[in-house]
Amino acid sequence: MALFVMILSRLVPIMMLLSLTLVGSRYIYDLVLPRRPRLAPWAFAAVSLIGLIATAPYVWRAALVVGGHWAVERSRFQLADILLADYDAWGGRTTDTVGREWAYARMNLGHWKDAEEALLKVPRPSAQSTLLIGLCRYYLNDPAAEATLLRIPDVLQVEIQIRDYLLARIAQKRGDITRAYNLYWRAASIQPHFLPAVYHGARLTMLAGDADAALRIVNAYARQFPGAGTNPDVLTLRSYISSGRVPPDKEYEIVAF
Amino acid sequence: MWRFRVRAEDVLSVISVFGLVTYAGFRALGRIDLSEENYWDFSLIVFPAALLIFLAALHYAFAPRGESSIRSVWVETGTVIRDWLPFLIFLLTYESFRVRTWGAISPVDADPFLLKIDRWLFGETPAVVLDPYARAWITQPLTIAYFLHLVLPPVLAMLWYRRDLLIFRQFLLTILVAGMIGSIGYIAVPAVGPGVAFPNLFHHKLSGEIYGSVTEFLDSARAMRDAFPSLHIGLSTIVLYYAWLRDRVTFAWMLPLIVGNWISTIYLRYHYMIDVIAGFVIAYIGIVVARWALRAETAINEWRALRAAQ
Repeated sequence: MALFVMILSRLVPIMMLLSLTLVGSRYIYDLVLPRRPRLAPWAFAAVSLIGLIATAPYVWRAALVVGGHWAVERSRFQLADILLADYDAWGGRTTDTVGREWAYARMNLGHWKDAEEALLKVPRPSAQSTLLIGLCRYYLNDPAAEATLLRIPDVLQVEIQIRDYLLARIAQKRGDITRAYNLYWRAASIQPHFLPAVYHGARLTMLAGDADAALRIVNAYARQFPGAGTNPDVLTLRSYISSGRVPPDKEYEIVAF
Repeated sequence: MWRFRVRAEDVLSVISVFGLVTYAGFRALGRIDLSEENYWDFSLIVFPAALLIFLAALHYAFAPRGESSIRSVWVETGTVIRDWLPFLIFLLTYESFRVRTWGAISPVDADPFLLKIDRWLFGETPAVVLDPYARAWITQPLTIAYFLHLVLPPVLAMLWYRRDLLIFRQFLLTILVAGMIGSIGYIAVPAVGPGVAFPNLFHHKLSGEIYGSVTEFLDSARAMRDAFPSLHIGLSTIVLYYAWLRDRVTFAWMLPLIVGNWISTIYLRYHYMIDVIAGFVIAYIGIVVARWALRAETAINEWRALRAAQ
């Protein structure tokens, strides 16, 4: 469906360019015909050819960006990266969506630096794109990650649970455990299904020595989402908590679009 | 000589832009961003116009000599642009909802109020009642049906444009009026819908490949506070009415799609029942006002012609 509207929106300027080519060709044909009748079809063909050549880069870019989108949707990230890099090389505009799709493909390939570069090409990045820049910087251990993430406001259509989770991770690494716990709690409140926040929230609770509270967090999560009880991370948490040990620190690799 | 004659839809488009500028300031217009994310919904209006222009160019390019002239193709292009442009302008004002225009009148979301009305009227908001029935095989077709409120109006507009310009204008004018009332509703009663406002009321996740991609795309284009009244219901009802006017075959193939669209607004947790009722009401008002506006326009033109003749 997204592909359909993408094609539709790119067809409009292509059709306008082709219309202009057709009108121009016929107009020149009619001009030449009275004086040089044998040359008129060639004039028509020449103008058509110029028009087609002018339209070709746009058509090619449209094909590349639509192909890139198609590849991302089918998790063919290597292909998506090639197509979108070509799109960029052909002078295609890296809009917010294109930038995020390209970055998403590169994140899935583990190329955080390249993903950040793709996002930095977006002229006016949305809050979600800024979040993704912060995400890349976090995994690149870039100190600018925190400042980037702090710039993201609480708005709809932005995965702010990821922002809070990453800020929590940064705070935890700095040794600010209270702030980290509060941020994990907030991330889990925004998106109760978000296991990384639950995992680290429960882990910090264990670190504080409150095994009952940690178990309550894990049980509440497992109860809320049927099937979560068999998740390996939930099983790990339960096993460590029941034996009074602190679960291992785990670095989740989050990719987002 | 070609003379510009003011139409009812021109007046309404200007009023909507003027209202927006007065209310939200020029900042609202400046923030309208025709980026790719927002452009695709415009293309649903621009595409039929571009297609008509392309057909005119094709006809001109390959017409036998003497049957077509460069002037005729310009006139045809100008006519197409003139006929479709007011509706594009209105769509642009809809885009302004991205700049939080509602914040000036009602900074607080009205979701709790709308939920209260639903509970008072029906015991519970129907979206919650449908929650236990959430299944991927139901979600997928209903997601497509939900998306159709953007596709069916241009399709029907195109069908009417080829047959009767006056009904085409009446149809799009109806949409414009309903859209204006809807926009006022968005500002006066800003709400995000039960799915976003009250996620805790729902225990079954809506999922599926189509659901994910389509809702993501739609969410990128929609106004941020667009629950009350439901323009999905309003627009699709208008489409159904004008499909009925056109012929029974058009009505027959559109009916299941539109009924699916109505159900999807509740099932996908975008609307409260009161939004749906308000959607039917604005469709009715839109139809009545559009007819009245065109009658008024005809009367004014006749009066002018009479005066010019005297």
